[in-house]
Amino acid sequence: MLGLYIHTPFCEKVCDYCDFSVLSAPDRLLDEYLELLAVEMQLLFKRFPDFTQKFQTIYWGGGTPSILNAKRQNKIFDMLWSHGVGVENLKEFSMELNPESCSQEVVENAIQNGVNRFSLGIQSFKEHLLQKVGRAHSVKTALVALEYLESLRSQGISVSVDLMFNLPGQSVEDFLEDLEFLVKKPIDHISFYGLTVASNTALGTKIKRGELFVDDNLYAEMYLQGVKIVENNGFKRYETSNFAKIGKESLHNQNYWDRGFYLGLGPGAHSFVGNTRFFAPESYAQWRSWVQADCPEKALNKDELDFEAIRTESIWLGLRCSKGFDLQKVKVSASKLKKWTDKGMLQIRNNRVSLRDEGWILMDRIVQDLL
Amino acid sequence: MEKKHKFIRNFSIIAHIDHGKSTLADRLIEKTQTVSSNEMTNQLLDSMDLERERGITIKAHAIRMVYKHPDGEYILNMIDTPGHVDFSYEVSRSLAACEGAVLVVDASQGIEAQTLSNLYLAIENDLTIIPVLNKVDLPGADPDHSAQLVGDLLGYDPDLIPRISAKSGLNVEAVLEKIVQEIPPPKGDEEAPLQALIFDSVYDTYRGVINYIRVVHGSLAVGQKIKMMKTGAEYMVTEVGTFSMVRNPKEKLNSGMVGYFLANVKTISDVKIGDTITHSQNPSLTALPGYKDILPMIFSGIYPINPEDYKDLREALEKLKLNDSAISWEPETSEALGFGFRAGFLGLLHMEIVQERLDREFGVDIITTVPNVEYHVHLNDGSFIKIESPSKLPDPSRYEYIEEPYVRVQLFTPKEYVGALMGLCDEKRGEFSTMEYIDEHKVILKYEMPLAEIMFDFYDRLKSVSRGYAGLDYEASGYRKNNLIKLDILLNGDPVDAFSVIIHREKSVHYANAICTKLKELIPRQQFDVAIQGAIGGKIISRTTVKAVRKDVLAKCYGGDISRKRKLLEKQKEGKKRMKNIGSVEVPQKAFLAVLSLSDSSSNSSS
Repeated sequence: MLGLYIHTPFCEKVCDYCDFSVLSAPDRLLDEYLELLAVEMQLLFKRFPDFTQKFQTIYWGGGTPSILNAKRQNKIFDMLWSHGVGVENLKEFSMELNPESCSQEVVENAIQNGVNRFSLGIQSFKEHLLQKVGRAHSVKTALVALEYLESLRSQGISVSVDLMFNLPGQSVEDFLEDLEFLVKKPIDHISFYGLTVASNTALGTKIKRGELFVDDNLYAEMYLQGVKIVENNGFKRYETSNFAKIGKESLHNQNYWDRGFYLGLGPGAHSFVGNTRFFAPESYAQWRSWVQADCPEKALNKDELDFEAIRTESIWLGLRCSKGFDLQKVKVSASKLKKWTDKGMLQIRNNRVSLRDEGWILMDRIVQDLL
Repeated sequence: MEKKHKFIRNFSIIAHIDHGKSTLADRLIEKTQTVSSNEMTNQLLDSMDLERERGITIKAHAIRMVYKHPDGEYILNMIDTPGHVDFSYEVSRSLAACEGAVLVVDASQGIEAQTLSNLYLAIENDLTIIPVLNKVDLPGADPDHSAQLVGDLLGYDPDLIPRISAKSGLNVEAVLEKIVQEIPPPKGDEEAPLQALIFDSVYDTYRGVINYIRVVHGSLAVGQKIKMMKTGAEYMVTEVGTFSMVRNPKEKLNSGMVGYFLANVKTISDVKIGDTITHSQNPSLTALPGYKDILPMIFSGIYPINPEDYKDLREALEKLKLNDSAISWEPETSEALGFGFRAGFLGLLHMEIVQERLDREFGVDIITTVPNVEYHVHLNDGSFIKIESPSKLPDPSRYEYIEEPYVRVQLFTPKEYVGALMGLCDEKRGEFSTMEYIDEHKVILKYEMPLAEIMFDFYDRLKSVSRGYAGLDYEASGYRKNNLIKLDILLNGDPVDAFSVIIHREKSVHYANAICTKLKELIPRQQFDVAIQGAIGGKIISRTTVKAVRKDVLAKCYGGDISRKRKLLEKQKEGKKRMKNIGSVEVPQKAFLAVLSLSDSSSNSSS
């Protein structure tokens, strides 16, 4: 598999928990961004000429891609097609949407240009929780957007919804109610994530000051109960935070966990080719200077993988997925495997090792032990 | 022969820590063009990484310089010495190889604790002392005042003391001139049987032991057969030479010279620092005075994290001892940690240095346990035993009382910090002796204190209450009976011998609370609750709990997260390697020294 990621680093409002490369931006900056992206795309595709026509998935994320109006979006689509990105090979073209910018104009235009999967960031159906983490939309806006996207499924459009849990002030019931409500909706895919608080974010500051509190002890129950709810309603866990109806898994994301290659465009976007992971400067201003200097290769952040690193990735990324990793390809200590299978946290089936039950919430610990 | 000696000068540089010894040494090397200027890196002589990082000299270093003087070419053999109280023994060793010492005093700090103790060592060794005022170009420097004080102390004309800046090179020639004029040339009889003092040694994987020597009488040449007088070992000399950053082989080392010899010595125990070497044929009948044996002040367990590394650890300790003769050890077994060693050190810094060197130079992952002093336990039958480890303390029904070592402490401080320092000493069970004025600003406070109390955070607290101005020096002053008890720490109900301490009863509850709280911070969450308890003779006096982990997972991981997160996993795994399994509980290396970082909590509660 070969994927392409496009990063649009703008939001109308940056969420309190966000530590991504994102900023709220005036129109002038959006236009500048599109020009820079065109340069970066041309140079990157020139470096990897064999890739351009072979992308099987594109994922357009952010930030908020839907912050760009149809005219601006078309600049990106035109760039792709003019470089010869082959529509015929493309199995999946995903786009992230936020409820507040999920307009008919944007969505219809995207579909006309080949987008066939939308991922809607709803995060919670509780108004007070949305406010607590500084989301820009209301529950009502989210419901309108969701209903609109559902109506497109008859055209073969796949719809995914993101939720968050372990939010400050969120009870176990709050989250489980959200899920019970969501699984009844005619959608294809659900992702839910435990909140990760980075200290350098607005939310991190509020927590440090004691204004908000995240009860870590609720994590396990929310996650384990949540999995039960979605799995009882026709979704299958294929990755620790991702659940899909049969055949509706995200191909693009699966490629990350399968250690397939991908190229990334935009500030801080990552690529993986051969045994090298690399990414462009993360801040918008630094990325701009970098592109203006014709994307010098030596200014990229590079991570050259040696044998150990590859093994680590294979175990860890493998265990993130329900299918696990292949024991014939990755050697691990038999006594360590036994330790975790005895605890009921790992299982071995058809020579594949995968997590089970409470193993899912202690994944990092298990991975470290197996390394 | 006298003629040859006339152009040799052997000297050490002594000073309080940070007064600029190593910088001056570098300047002298530069001025004598011993090393070309493009080879100069800062502080050449601090050759261990550790020394550069900490900015202190730990080991004595010897170097030969040639000084072109109108009278002729002088050979200057210089030995740089450490300035920390823990390392006075290194200084005394170096001094025995010299005829003179350059005493460096920071003109803005004046006379400090180690200025005096090193000076007394130099006087004891009958050396000619050349005082030098350094850092005279700093804004806070008061050279006239410092010169007066130093002059009074030494009976030296204050106007004749060189005022220099080792950093900028200002007036450094004056120091060279003084060395040549005032330090006497070595006396030695070239024709007499060989007597050479081994004052340091290091182990080289390819060449065996490299011995640093001062030839006192006779001479030493390649091909000669020599004998170590104390150990009796005999070797054929394969190389002799002097140092100028690298070894410079020579044909012969004559009397009066400082240099090295190689003899393919692979048996480390054949070499004793302080030993005298002589020729096997026509040997000297007497040995040189050598060094006093140094007694360790504090003790701690050293254990390999992986039991298989026990042998490597023993070898590493043996190699370390070659150039750190102050360390001593004997095998010890701990229920919690397995097979290891009980090692004696001169002080806490010495202990830290040894730990870091074992780790860095010898690559052995180790756990060191809470350090303690040596106790005298007086048994019911009237006899007494010495114990170096709390786990060796007999059952309370078997002994009458315990004695602990005391030290005579001298604190050098500007007078405005006297009050704060007295408070600190009281808290540390100190007993005030006297207070003396050095000048109108500076005083020496003298206390009798339990060594155990200055062992932990005393030095750091001293520095913090005096804004870094106070200095410390101490010497042993005998044993005293006190109300001491053994405090055990239990993990999930099982006592961990490596955590046990002997402590004054009045301090036990406070200590137990502090250590349980600290361990709670340091022991990572496991898959089950871990109870941490402090107990005296089975009675629990304090408790904390590390709750079981119920979440250890990164929720989001897409294309951009993989590199960063993988590196994090690798780092965490590295951390795990440094964990020791005590029963079923994983305990990190640093938890065994948790007591050393209790200072914050203890200072808060006592102030």
